[in-house]
Amino acid sequence: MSNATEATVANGPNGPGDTSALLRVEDLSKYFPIRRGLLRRHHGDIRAVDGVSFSLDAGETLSIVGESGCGKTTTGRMIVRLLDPTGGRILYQGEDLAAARGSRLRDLRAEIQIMFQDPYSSLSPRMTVHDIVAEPLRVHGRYRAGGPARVRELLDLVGLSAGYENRYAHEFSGGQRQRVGLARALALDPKLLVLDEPVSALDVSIRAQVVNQMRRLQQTLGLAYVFISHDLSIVRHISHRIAVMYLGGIVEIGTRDQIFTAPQHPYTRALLSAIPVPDPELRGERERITLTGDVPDPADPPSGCRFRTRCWKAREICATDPPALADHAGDGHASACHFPENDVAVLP
Amino acid sequence: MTERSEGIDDTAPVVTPSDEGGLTTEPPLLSIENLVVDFATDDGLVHAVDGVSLTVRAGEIVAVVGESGSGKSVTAMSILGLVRTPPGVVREGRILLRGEDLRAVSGERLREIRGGEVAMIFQDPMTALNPVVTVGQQIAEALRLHDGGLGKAGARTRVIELLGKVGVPDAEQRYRQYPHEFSGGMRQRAMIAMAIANGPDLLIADEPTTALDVTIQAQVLDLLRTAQRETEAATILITHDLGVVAELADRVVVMYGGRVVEEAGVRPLFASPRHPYTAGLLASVPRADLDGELMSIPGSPPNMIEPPGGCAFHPRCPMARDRCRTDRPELRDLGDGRHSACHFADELAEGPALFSAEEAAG
Amino acid sequence: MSATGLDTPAPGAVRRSPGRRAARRFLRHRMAVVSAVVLVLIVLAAVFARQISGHDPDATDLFATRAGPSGDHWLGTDATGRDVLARLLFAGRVSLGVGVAAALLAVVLGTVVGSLSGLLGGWVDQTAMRLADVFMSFPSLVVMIVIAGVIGPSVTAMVIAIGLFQWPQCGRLVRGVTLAVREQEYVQAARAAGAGPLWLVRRHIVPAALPPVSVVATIAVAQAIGLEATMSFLGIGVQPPAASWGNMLTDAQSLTVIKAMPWLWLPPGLAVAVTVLAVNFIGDGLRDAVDPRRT
Repeated sequence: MSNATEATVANGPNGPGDTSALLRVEDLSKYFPIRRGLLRRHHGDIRAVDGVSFSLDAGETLSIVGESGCGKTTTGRMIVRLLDPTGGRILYQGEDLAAARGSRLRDLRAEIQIMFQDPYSSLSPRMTVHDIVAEPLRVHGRYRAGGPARVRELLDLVGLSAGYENRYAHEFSGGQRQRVGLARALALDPKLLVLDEPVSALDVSIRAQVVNQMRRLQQTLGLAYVFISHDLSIVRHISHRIAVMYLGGIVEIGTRDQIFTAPQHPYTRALLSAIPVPDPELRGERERITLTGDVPDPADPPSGCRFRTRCWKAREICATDPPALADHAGDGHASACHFPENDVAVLP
Repeated sequence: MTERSEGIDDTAPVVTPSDEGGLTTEPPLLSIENLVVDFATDDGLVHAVDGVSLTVRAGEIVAVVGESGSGKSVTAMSILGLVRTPPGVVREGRILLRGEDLRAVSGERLREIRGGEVAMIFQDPMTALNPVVTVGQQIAEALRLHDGGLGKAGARTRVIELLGKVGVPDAEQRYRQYPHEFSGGMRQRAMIAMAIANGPDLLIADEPTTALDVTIQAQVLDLLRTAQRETEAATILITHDLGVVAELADRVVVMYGGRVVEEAGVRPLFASPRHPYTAGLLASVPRADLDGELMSIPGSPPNMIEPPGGCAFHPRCPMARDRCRTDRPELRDLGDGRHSACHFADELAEGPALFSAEEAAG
Repeated sequence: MSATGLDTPAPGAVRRSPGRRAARRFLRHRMAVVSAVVLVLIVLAAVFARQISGHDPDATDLFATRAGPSGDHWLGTDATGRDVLARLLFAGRVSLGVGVAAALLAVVLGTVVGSLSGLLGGWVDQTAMRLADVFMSFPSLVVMIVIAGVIGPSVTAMVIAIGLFQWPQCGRLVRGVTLAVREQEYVQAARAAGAGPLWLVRRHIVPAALPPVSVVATIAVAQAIGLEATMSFLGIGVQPPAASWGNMLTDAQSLTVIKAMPWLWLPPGLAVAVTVLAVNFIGDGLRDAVDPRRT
């Protein structure tokens, strides 16, 4: 019941068949088997990610947004091969990451790095900041030749005074720790960074510092970002394109402006309308779409369209026919819905 | 010579403009006076709350806003005496609930108040819910603790009614279920049901929406509004999410570095903040409905073991002057029910935007 | 492009490595500190045995057998006229040596097995843990008697026997630590950078395991010293004429000796007791020092 098997997948500004993309994910899946009973029989699967496809160009940011359980984090981990996909391909510059092994995998890893959400568990409590940032270099044997200088350069790049490199992580604030995590992710000079909720655990006034830093780095280093977040407000400030996920599949994908000003999928609309806007004058003024019910069990998703159990527009066809991710207007804006909205703004 | 902030003078009845523009004269429901709380840690003494005073009137929703190290959670926990001692120590202050000092009452009286007149809603429902007791039984227990005369049957009816009110479907069946059988959003509802069960006069909600998904957050916000309307309780809403504040609050208290730095009605605060920290905070909130520069406040939250001298915010303040480094500003009355702990609050009334994206490039 | 002064750790933030903080916490534990001093004294006494006692532990003097304490022999002499003090101090070398060696064997074995078990999972894990269960379920004394019988009683045999008995405890502990650390994001980051299992063990798991393992190790040392004393007392450990606290106690099997000649059995008995007690207290102190909840 994949949402995108025979779909015309929106592949960004260059359309399908474009080979210039830095990263192209095709029909990616991750199933976790459920084993029950004394004999641990295979009872079915939790389809954490079910047929996800998208592409990303160099220097571009694609944000993947969704709520808990939608599969965005799992997707991110598969891209950096911390998790092995159950199906599909991850093409990095044309080469399938999912099939890479041994030393080739190791070499490829240097090009695709990850930054984590939790400033506390993402840095070892037993290592100095210098060692934390140097670790990737040491793993690849790149520390001997100019390692210490490179570490200082990295710390400077992310806006931390190199003079504090011999301190331990616990001596720094959350925002500073995330910068250390960013420096570590940049150590091997990657071309692509997966950012897994990088600012969600930080204070509001600090988030912008880190996000602004990331934007600057994107411009100076030409980095591509996969920015995973549940916070649509931050996403608006860093994305070029956005993919919205629900229960393991992409329900809508498009440019930032397309998503925010003219969302097509009912889930996207509900998501946007649920964001509390920090302006008391607008209290009571906005149309609020409150979704009923809860997210369905990923081990037993609804038939047809996964969102139909909470969708106010659901009809019979939604239960029988899973909608494909389709780009109706041919402008790179695709949604997986039989009755997409068009040209209606949600936010004031 | 700097003096400890005395906050609002609560010996006289408080006169304040309400949202409608009229004046109400009424003694406050809850009054915290000059609260000081320290925590002993391996690294030293953390001055978590450093002379905080605030009031809550009957029926109003007061949002206490702050980030890490602001002391907002500790302040909230102190009201019901929930600060772990050790390592926490409440050194000073009075917490007056209708004139009764909650720091001075007997243990029995405090237990009566908890869950009775004052109820708390936590960030994580699993803090409040016992995993080995059914949800229905827990809420029933909460009811019967405060109403000795209520029998089992009576309690059960009440609980089912409550679950219905908070929007839990199939309440009859859900009564017999355990917390792990509830989804995250439903657990929040169950916790809120437990909190409003005894018709409290004051609800303390500590980051009730922080860990939740956006769509569930919206549901919970609606629920809090409903709960507040049902019980006509005053509510203290602890949060760092300004969107939630804008949606729910009548008044806002902004905390920084263990102190109150600004206090105002919600509309005036958002429209024209009178403290640089508030201005910075408002400027740094990303908007889903607007494009624009993403501002931030340079630097990091203060170290509460050795807080900065003078004004706690001065190391990060674009307006800081010499006086700010040495003189601790008091919370001054600016009129119109507004207070600010900034020596130069008046300059903010007409000034241009304090924080630019360039400067904020920390 | 770093903003001056704004990205420094907050002033007053304490500059202390995790090691130093643990040391501070250890020093607050009075019994542990006292015990550490006592243990150091015992070790020094064993090292400078010859200088302190002034006698050769093997020198017999058949004219002065079982003599009480005197100016020449501070703790008297044993059944063949050997100086008790000298034997006591030299025996300390053996007992302490066996204790430490056995515990070391147990820790190394346990760490290797436990970490690989936790990291690799699957059948490796299953096999290793079943093996550990087997070793743990054997009655220790019986096993050691068998091993001593097979290899022949000697110091080496004892070290191996005790080590094999003790490794499962350490192994399970390290496996637990491995399972916990494995999921930490900083380990995931290392994996994402291309680190293999050996790197993870060396750089992340071992440092994380060191605190709890050090506690278990001290307990193992205490236990090993006790076990050695038992085995030597039974005659399957250190063989005479070499001295060990255990075999010095063998003499005390006769009622006459126990009642009338305390200098023959009290010193070695006390030596074992005090040493084991001291090591246990140090273990307590370490446990408090490394308790992660206090960080």
